[in-house]
Amino acid sequence: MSLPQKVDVLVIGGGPAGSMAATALAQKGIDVALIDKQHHPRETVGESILPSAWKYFDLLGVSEAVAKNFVRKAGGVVVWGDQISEIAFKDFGYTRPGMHVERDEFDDLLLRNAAAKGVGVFEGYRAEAFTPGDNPVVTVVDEAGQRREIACRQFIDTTGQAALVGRQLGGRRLNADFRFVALWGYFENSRYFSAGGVARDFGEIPQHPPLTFVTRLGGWGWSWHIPMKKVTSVGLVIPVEDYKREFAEHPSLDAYFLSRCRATPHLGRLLANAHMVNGGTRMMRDFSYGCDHISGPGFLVAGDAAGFIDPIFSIGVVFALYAGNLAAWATQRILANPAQAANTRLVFETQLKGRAELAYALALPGVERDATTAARQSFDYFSQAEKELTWSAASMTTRSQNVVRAAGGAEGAAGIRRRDLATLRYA
Amino acid sequence: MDTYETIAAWLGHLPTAPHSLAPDTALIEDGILDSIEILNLVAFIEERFAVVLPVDAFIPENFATPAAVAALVVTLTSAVPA
Repeated sequence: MSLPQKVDVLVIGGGPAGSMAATALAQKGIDVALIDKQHHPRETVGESILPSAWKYFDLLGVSEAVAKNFVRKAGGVVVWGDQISEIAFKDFGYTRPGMHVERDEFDDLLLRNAAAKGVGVFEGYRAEAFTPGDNPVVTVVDEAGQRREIACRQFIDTTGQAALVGRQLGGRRLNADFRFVALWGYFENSRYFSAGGVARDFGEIPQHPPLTFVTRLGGWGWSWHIPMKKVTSVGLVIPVEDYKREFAEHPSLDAYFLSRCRATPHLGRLLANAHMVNGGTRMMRDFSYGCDHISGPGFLVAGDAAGFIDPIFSIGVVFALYAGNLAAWATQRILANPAQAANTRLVFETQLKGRAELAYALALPGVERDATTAARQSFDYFSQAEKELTWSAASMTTRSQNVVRAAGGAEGAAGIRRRDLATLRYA
Repeated sequence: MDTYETIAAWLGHLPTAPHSLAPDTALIEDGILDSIEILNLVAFIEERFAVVLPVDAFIPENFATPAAVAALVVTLTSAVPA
């Protein structure tokens, strides 16, 4: 199969948002092609997934494969200053767990599934530029540097941080409330926490499902610890100023990252006998941003290409799946009723921005600010179980007082099903 | 079938629907209507009743109960075309 010159819908980028959008459209019988500049499987970060993802997995038809191929997590444990607390998904009535997934394998699974469901998938093609309009044209470059044009009726930008639309049209803004740098790496033989905050050896994962472990670092920073099948993803989200000062005192990024991990209470203890693998420390500087243009004539933008918010509560993949599905719905509505395209784009923007505002309120570090009307409205689309999980997660850190407050303090307090722990237990 | 019955019949086919659906069943709160199914419901309403939901109709209150959904549809179908 060769790259078409013409297609009804072109999806650009094969991460979860792109695969979700493309598959949902193909399932409705729409002619859709997806291009990705890389060949999957390819590495990316963001390995912790909330149970609300299952409805999307069901829709895609991948639930069985996801359940079989990845590590189930029972909930999360957070050390935030003096407070140690745990949440268990089953306390909220969830019958299915969260997941810890190797993103190369997970994203590949969703992409192969898209192809199996009728999406034309083409890897090794990078979108370079586009001409918006009723019949948009996307300029694509192959790996030999050859350019060609693809004409379509709509395209969906799911290019992640490459942000095709955001970079061409401008308006990609860093979020000043989140001046953080993320450093992360992968470890073999890390211990992990299971239910009740009990530390266990890596080999016990099949018998004792892990919790995602988060701890507060200085100045609103935080760390993650996500045990997967073979390795554990460990990351530090550090205020930019701390990073600059501290990094200067170390001979290399690896030396800095490792010493900071080992000096972090509990995290250092879990990593006592672990070693970093897979090529050292990764880094990301632009830790939160938004885009002014998330739709326009002939296109919609979803996933990290539309915006990225400090993912302290593991919402990234679910947000991408939500956005991908919303983009598929909006694209189908535009194709069916072009006269209402402007209305549909406005609906898409309003809904997506509401979700982004909610994520923002949830992650906002140490800033007293009420959640916006859009965030509150987005929150009211949640079921009671999802609301209680969100309140409870928010109450585990002092970062998210906005959400607890926005939801109505008393009501929120009643729905908090957090378990406070006196201590974490090491055998 | 009247508007309410048509809406209730669609909702009744959801795998998450309870055995008996009342006009005031809490669709969103009880997890019967999630973010995916709300979009499917809008697509159904627009096709079945030949209406287009304006952007300000996309608020959780309009999907909170079967009665609220039916009331939304009645408002849209009885609106005088511009």
